[in-house]
Amino acid sequence: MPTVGALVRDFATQDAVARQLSRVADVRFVDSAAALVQMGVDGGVGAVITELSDEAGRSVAPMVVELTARAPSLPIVLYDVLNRPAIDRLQEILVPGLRTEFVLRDVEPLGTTVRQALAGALPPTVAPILIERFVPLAPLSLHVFIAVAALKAPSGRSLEHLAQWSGVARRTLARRLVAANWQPPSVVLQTFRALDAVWLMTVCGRSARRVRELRDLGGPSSVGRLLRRYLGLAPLELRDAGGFAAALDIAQHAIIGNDANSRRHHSLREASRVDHG
Amino acid sequence: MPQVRFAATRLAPVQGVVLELKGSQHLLVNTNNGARCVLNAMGRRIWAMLAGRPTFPALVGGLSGSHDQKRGEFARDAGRLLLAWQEAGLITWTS
Repeated sequence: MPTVGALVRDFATQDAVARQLSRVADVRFVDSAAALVQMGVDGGVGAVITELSDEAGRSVAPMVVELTARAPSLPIVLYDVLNRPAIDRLQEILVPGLRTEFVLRDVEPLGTTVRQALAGALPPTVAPILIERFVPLAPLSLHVFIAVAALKAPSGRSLEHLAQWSGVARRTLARRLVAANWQPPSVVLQTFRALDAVWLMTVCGRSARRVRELRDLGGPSSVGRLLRRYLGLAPLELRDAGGFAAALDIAQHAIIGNDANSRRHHSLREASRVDHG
Repeated sequence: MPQVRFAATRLAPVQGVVLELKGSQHLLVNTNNGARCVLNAMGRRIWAMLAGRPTFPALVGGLSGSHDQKRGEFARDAGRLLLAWQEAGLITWTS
């Protein structure tokens, strides 16, 4: 069984981590960020798990930089609650393109992500870019949902899950989005999935087929359909239009309502065939 | 949830560290202890960005610019350089 290192401070969380990983990996808990770095550098672990703050309550940002420099192939799993302060902290830690994944403590299963990490199968994450772009555009009451959607949309989790993980009922979420003049939650979620697919194809060089496999999107034309429906362009058209940067602009106009966008996206309010929500 | 301080998430030069040009060479000099470090092209760019006290992700974003596909590579290289500078007492983590 592989081994993972973990910097998790309280005993109850340690117990939860150990239980969730009992069939995935042996867990070696450490009591300091320095010890976790040393463990990663020494090479005895296949991945590391850490909360957003270290044993003294400081951000783990310096530790993540040190691990990135000294153990560049080691996957890092961030494991913590997600509230507004944590969103700010994440933005100080997460770098798009690195093998770092965030798992929501107490609500999201840890085993799946750690298994992926150990198999070297964590795809690069677009989440920090989505958080940076969309969270500041949303009212405070939507920040956690937008961050959860940015982090978890690629996983294919249902809207019900994401609303629950954001701490709100799905109906409340829909009401808040309407009040903010945003598109419905399913459209936000699917647009983020489309952006993730564009990111993987245009920035990370994955083929449409590989993206479909990585994200479990369904049939052969699912990626094209997702992009056309939520970004209005086919994959090749998006490449010509400016790739991921253009897709971000299109997505922003698409999900943050104004008159023109409301008309353009009227059809999106209907349930989509690729909508898992 | 306990109060979390997150005191140090931004990168900044240590006070007393200055840039010196010697011919075509760019050097970081720690005037406190005389330590010197020659900067390569990436080092010069990073040093210029440190004035704004960036977070690590912001610094990597600035370095990679439109070369998003190389962001992971930039992160690793920048991380190595920053670690070396930190160990040499040239930079620090700040709030």
